[in-house]
Amino acid sequence: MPRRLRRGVLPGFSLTLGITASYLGIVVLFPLAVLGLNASTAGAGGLLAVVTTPRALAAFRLTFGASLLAALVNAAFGLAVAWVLARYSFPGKRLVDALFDLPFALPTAVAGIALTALYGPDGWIGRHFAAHDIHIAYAPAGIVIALVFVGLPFVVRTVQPVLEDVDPALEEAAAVLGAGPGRTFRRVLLPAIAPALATGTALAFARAVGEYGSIVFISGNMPMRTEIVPLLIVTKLEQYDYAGATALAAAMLAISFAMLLGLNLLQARARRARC
Amino acid sequence: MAPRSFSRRAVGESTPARLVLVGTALAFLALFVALPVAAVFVQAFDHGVAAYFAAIREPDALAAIRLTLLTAAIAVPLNTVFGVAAAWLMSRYDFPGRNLLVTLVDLPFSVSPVISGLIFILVFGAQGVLGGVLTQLGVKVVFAVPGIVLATTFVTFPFVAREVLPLMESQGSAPEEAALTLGASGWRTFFKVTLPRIRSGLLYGVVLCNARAMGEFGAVSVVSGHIRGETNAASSRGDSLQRISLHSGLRGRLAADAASAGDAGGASSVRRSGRASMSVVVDGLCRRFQRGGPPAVGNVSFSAPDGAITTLLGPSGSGKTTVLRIVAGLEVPDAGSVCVDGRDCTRVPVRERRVGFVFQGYALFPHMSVRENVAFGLEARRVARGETRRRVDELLSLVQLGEFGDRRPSQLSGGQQQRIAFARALATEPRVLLLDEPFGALDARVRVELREWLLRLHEKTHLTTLLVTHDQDEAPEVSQHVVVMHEGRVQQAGAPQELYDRPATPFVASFLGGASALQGRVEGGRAAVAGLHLAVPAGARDGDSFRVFVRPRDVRIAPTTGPSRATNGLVERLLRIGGMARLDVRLPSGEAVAVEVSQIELERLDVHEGEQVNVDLAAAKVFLEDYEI
Repeated sequence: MPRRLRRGVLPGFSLTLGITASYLGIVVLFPLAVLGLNASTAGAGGLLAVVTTPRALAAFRLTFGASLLAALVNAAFGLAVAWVLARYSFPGKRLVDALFDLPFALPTAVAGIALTALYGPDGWIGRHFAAHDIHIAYAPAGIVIALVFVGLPFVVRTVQPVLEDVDPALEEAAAVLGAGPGRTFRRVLLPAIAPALATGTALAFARAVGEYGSIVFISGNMPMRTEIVPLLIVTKLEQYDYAGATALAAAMLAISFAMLLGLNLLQARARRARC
Repeated sequence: MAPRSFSRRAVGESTPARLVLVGTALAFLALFVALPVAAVFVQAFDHGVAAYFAAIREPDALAAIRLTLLTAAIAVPLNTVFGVAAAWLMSRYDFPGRNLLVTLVDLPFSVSPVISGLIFILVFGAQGVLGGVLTQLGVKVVFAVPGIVLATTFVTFPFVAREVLPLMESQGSAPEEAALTLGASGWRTFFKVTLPRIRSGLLYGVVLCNARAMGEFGAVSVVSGHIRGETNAASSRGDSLQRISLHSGLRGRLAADAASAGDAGGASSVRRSGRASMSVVVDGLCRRFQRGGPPAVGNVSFSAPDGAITTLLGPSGSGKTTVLRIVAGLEVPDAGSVCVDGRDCTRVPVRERRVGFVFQGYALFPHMSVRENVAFGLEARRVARGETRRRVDELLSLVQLGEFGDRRPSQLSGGQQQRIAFARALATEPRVLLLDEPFGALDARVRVELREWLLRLHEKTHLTTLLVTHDQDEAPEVSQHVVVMHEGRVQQAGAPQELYDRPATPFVASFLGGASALQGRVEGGRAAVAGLHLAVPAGARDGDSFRVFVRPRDVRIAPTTGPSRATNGLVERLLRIGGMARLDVRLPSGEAVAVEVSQIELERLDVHEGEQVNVDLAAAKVFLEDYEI
């Protein structure tokens, strides 16, 4: 007997499960299985050998480190943006609100070119940094900036509706009881939006890990310094090293999957504790 | 009730804090979004507009655009169907492996397009798993249109599901269940109930999915902003409709009366304030929520006696809750003052007012235990830990919920939550207790119990209390001082019996005791109504129109013709409620009068539905109108 089979009275379980499972199977699971199978032909030793070369390790470190940093930047600023959009009204708010969807829509290659033009040594912004010998484009900082760009809407768009939904009476109750703005935020508002903030940050992180188009342009792609894992995979493909590319891809997939699953489980537990 | 966006907010960040936050958000937007996009356009039009359009019209560019559109046209519908099915599955059913499924749906977000491309090469490429079969069939997938479509589908896979899922989760399945009980089929329920409810999220998901598939910007900025705007508009429209329907009946009839009677209450409360010591004195409060709109509160003055319960009574939309919120400091008045214990605290911030406020929906912090809720105010005032624990125990036993300290509010019944809300409000030892419809959300029996409990609690604490209610039966039961409000003004203030016996305005007369209203005209110094002649107030001239208010219990009926102040009426309906009987009697003028008599009296009169009776309105209260009908 399964753990908790709550099928309820609503119809459509078989249908939706059928659609979901078969579509998921065709588009996601089957291809992933093939990848896994291909990777496993190399054997654990072979896999490990490819993944632990210094160049691959550096790429992994950069990919996940920069993604984490970008996700944290997005968490902090995305929360501020969601806060402003949900709670204040100011002229042009609708336009600002719409602009935050832009990174979803702009082809990432275009974003990469634009950011490079902006933060490059000759760019509108990069010029001023270059004058002090600080390089943003063609350096890890540029990668973080590109990743902040592509992950930006996730935090904003997950936190904003939750923040709008928080009962204003809760805040008022806290104020009547004598709590200051800081305490009200920490004890009343943050717990309410924490799950959404975590989801948004996780999605931004996941998106950053998978980003390729924009980074190719801004990173400069120097091995050991500014080379991300997807780029390393492309390099291997261009050298017809399919086994190596597959091993790297499988490793990356496994890490992404484990992190996403962990986060979803954490959220499910939080949800269950709540009710 | 008050719109949040209005500039005068008593709760929330200070203006400098707001400016810093807005500035941060805008700076962030400029650095990471606006400037890069500006750079794109500057480069695109670097060689002039003509060069730009020439580039677009190149055959290569046209083919690329066509391919992009085709890809989106295939990938988006597929992902939409999948997204809705997956969201329904994951929000409506709990089954083993649900979390795994959610994760798998998210996975394409984090998979680099490079990896997805590699995967499809591994599957469909010449050396791939299906490559052999496909080559034999002469189908080319990789490095051809199908490959692009597949890769795009993979990358845009989660958008619709991710947008619709939280919406479905937050909406719950009650409407779907209702549709099923009404006999709707599964598909009918989906198209008529589910789909309209998720429309905004679905549209947004499709737009995002499409945008990611095409890399198109214009559509998303215009359409997504628009969709969200529409949903906002719909919800706020629903809200105000509800509000209007609640009091439109009263407003229409009595709009003019309120204007004439506005100051009556203020004068009588000033008279009263001389007698007892007053701990809350409200003077000339005004509050408007919309510039140029009608005032929610217009020149409200009254005082609440020390150590007693004072009731603010009025229909929905009469401004009573706004007055309560101004006293608490949750609203800033446009004019007027609030004094507590003789000190003007109109400008004192809410945190420092030392008031206890019990919210209409309780507003318990859902993520905190009962103990943490009650302790919140003490911790905010930095009371020592041991002292806090002692006070919380004391309060929990005072509200008889000592054993529930570790539960979450959602695990308690409505009545228990209400008592926790009281305990939390009392914890900080407030000078005034403010109750906003404290029993509104409870069922009738619990309401009666809690009312008695409140009275006992008040006997122990003798805390000056202001209670807001729309229930005219509740007011006399819990308090000896009632302030009747209507359309933002005080109509009358005084002891319940005084209001009942000597209503100062037509509104009070009709609101208390459910009186029937009859129209009439002054003739020969007497009020003529429905064939009756009643005494009129001094100053009435012939031809003045007036209204008579008569309560069901004050109407006498008799089976025979007799007294001079009576006339005939037809008993249209007879309802027996407990020991009482209620009759609707239609007068010859066409107006109806409600009559209430005891069952014993009814037996004695021997009156039945469809019979004529004599109606005696001797106890009617006459109000002159100062306007033409």
